[in-house]
Amino acid sequence: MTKKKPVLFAAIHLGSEQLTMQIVEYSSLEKYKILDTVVKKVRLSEETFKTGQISLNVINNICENLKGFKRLLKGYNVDNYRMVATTALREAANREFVIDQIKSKTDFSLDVLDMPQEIYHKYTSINRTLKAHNVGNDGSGVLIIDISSGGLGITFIENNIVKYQKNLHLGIIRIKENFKQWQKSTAHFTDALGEYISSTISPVRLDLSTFSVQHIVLSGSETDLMLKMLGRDKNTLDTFERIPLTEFDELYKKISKLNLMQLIKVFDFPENTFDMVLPTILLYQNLLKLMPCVEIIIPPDRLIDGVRIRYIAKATNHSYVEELENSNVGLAYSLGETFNYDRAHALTVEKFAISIFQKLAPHYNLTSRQLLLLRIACILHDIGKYIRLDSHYFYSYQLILSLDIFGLSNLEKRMVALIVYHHAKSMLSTNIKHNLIALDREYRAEVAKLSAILRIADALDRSYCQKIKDLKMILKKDELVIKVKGNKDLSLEYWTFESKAEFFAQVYGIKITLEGSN
Amino acid sequence: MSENAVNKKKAIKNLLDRPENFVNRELSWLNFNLRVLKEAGIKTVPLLERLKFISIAASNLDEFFMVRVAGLWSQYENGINKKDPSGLSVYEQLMKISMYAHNQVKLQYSYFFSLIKELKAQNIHLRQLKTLSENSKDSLYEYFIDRVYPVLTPMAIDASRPFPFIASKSLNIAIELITPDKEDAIAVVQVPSVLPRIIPVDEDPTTRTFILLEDLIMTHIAELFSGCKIIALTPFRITRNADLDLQEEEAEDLLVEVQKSLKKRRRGDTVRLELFKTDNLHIKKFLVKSLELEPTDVYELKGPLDLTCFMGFALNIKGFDHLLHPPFIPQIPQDFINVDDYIELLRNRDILLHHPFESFDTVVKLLQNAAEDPGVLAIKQTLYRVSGNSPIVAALARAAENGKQVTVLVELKARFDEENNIIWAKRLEAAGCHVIYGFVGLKTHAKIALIVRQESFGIKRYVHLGTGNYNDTTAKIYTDMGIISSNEELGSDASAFFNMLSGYAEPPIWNKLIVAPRDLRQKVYDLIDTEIAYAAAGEEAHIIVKINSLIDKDVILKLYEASNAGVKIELIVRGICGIRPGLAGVSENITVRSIIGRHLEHTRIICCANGGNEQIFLSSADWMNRNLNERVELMFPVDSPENKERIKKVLNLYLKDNTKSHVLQCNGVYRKLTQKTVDAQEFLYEEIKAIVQENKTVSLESRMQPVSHHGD
Repeated sequence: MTKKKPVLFAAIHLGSEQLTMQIVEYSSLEKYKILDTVVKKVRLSEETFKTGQISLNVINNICENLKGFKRLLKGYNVDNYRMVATTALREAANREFVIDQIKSKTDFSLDVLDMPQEIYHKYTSINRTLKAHNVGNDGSGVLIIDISSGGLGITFIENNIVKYQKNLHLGIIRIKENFKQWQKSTAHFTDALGEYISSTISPVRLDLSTFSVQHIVLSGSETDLMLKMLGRDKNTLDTFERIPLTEFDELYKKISKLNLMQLIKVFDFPENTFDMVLPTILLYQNLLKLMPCVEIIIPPDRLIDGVRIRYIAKATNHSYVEELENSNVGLAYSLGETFNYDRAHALTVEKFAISIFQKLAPHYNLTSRQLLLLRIACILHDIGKYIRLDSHYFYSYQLILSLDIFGLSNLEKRMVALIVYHHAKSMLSTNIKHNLIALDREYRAEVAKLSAILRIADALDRSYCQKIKDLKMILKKDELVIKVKGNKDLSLEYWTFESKAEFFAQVYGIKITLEGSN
Repeated sequence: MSENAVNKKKAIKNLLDRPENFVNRELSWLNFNLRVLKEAGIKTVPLLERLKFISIAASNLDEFFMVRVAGLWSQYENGINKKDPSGLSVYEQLMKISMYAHNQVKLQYSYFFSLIKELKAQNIHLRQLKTLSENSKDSLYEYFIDRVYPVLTPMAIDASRPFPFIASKSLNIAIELITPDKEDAIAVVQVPSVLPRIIPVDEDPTTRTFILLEDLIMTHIAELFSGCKIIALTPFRITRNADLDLQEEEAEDLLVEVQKSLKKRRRGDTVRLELFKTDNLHIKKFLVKSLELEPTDVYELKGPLDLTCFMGFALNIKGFDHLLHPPFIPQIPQDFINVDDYIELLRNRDILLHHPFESFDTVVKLLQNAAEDPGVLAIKQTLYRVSGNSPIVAALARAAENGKQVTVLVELKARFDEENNIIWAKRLEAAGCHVIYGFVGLKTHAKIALIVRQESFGIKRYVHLGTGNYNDTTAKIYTDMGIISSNEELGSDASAFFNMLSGYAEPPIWNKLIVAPRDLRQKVYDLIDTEIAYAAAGEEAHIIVKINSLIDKDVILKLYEASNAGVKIELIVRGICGIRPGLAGVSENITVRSIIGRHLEHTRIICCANGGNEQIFLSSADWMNRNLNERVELMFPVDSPENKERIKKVLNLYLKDNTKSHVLQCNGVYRKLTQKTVDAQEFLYEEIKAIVQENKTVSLESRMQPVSHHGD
């Protein structure tokens, strides 16, 4: 066996509290070595949450550090990197300027992850770690609670399928910064904070009540504080802690009588964490009340691990990330259930759409990512009917925008919503009211292409009776012929098809025709 | 821990924390210098070596006054007069120091005179000019006129002229005279430091004769003061406060700040006046008054001032090699003999180097190779004190010129080397190195070098960690240990360490390194606590520490606690030691010895029995408050069994030494062992020579063999 020469890559994360870089040497997703992990504290979140923007001082500080990172990269001859930023920069009013200054001062290009992406990046890593530690592989339910500085992601997995996913705007630092100093100093602060947290997450409790949770996985930098209180100080970077629930109960019994000063004394917290202590304790306490469970797991995964995994998977053509994303289609079905969708119809439309997509894909540069968007659009295209039958496409669009669809960025979610919107409403409508496309022009064609497929697939089951069981397609130079078999009368399908064919032809530049066969 | 147990612990600590259980730091240091000085009195030590010890002790004492005594005075003058752990106030310390130092100087001169006598028997004569032949006097006068006179600058002092600035440690002559206007005056002439202090004279072909420069100047002093009447002459020398007082917090640019304070240094306060014993009270009173000194600051000497010049004399005098040690040749470590590719050697094992027995050139060559090795991507290194014209600095500059990423931490605050350090820091920068100047408020004293190399299977890191400076000159004299390793965890720590030093990153969770100021002190406590626990469980509990200074009060208390718990503690402390060993109820299980020999003991080793699973650490840190709290220091474990075994053997050897060992008694006095059957330094040198010799023979044989086969 010839060994492949390993390649170097750097993942950089401009977080709300720290700037982190991981320099990794890899030859495959499984075979890698982290050469350097560099963590530098930055004070982004404080500024963003308080003043809404990031000051020049802090930007310069970050740039100085990044120049140092650059030197480190040179010391290993690293050319490839991916740098992402999260909450604090995301929410800063001057984020575009910050990104531009960083680019011009340090030559680092930076992507800002939106919250769903942020949570999903972490999940990408946590999921792998859990599998490696055999957690949930037996089909038991795993609830992952990920706390970042600005958001809280709650994900339930069973049998390797994401069954539930919700993101809340409730991070520790957000809590910390939201309450003013005088509020924190009042005697009722703890109670008020507890109530605030509890009321914010209580809808989730209701949602989760039908699931059975074996393990609760806690992730986020504040887990360090919890581990410290549990007397499980981290002494390596990759400790995977499994803690029986009883141990937590003991801890909460012990600390329920202590005030902040006593807590600091008993647990010897570092000074910079003082104002995180109470929010952290309360938040975890409330979160653990969400669901009964047997065991708490604290994995070592950080966002930057997700950045690394996603990059390496892509660079080495590893299917892990793609498979993981595809498995999230399962979540779309759950969402469909929530809105009483016509499951049989949705599945049929999805099936037809996949067939058409796959036929077209090689010739029109369609990507697997686009297939994922299309499938989700197919599954959810009718959920608006839950609200109102009339103009349901509009309500479907609205609902999708307001849902958390795991693994999709906000942009992608918007695209799905628009694909769905246009399944019933022509994109070429001149009616301004319906012309919702404020989307960048580069994404318009993409939406149009996927929407065109959805419209055809939907037309093929217009009767909602699954009269057509199977498709056969022939792609000619200037025509796509769809041959269908059916025992029943397909008139409705034919008529609908006709009305959707024109748009398809305009988008793909070829005719589409439907032929019956026996 | 229950409240009861806490109280009990407190009570024990109170019992141990008593002045009578501690030795004062300064007095302990003076004691160390006394041990060094006493080497000059050992008849079995070659004559010129003994002269060198006098010079070393003198130079040490200079530094002690410039830094420690000056520091205490400035504390006292600022109203600080608190007691040290041994119960002495600042003022009491100053008075005791003066008393000790006066006695020590007396001994120093009695050794000096007896050495002069012994040298005479070996035909080396240090004479007074007036005893020489007229011929010699004439040629010396010529020398005076040609070479000395032009560089002399007499400075008159009277009411209208302020006392002239006199440089610290310069040798001067004070002259009382009557001016042509019949006025009483005092003048000062500096003995030029640009001229040799010890002047050879062609007096007698069978002997070597020398006189001192000040003797020549004093003899012809009248030439400088024509028309004046010389009443009296006295050589004198002053020592000033040399402690840099950096306003670091406000220091925007450390480099500029250090340069500034260097200018300041020559204007410090005087802390000591040495003068040739004279009956002329006028000059003495005048100097004491002008320099604002206390009577206790005055050292009247019966011989030549400033004996540091005899180091150069002993080293440079030709034809008397028999009065010196046979030349000491650091050996190439056996693993490196006939090896060019060090990388291959280091790939799978840790190599322990024991300097100066094993040559430091190995480390130099490692860096030189790295500078030229196309596979090397980056070199990172700390530099504290380096030699003049350092081959290490050259290698680093070369590496940068070859396009490697070179990061060098230069500690600008290395005492007395600041000026030197600035010069080559600039040179490194010019070559393209990334030079960092360490932390504000923390001296970086750690000794570590990291080489990052691109190999066929990825990045590989090679780390050198040591107990001593990257200084090829002192590495021939100091005993130090170093480890070169390609261990991944250590490599990763080394990277993280430099990232921390560069300010890119917060300290990480370390794999192996223990770093001061954050963790080292706690680790020392933890190690001692572990032994205490073993002792409590009735198992063997034993700590051996070899170190240069041990004065940190809390560490000492911890050691007392361990001693009381039944842990056997053997300390090999070269210099300052604040412990009183063998006190009942305090330190019965503690022994302390100091090794003073040809080589300056400098290794820092900690060895803990650890319930049979022995742990050995090397470190850059002494156990002093400043090292544990105010410096960036490293301690690192020695992992490989053969290296551990080797270090253990060295420690046991030092514990058996009865030639160069001084054992500390409970009364604070060191007793020299005189059995002279084991000499650790000598043994180590002979042992390594023998191993190297054997290896050379073997490798020669193996090279010969194929030839004879061909012959068949």
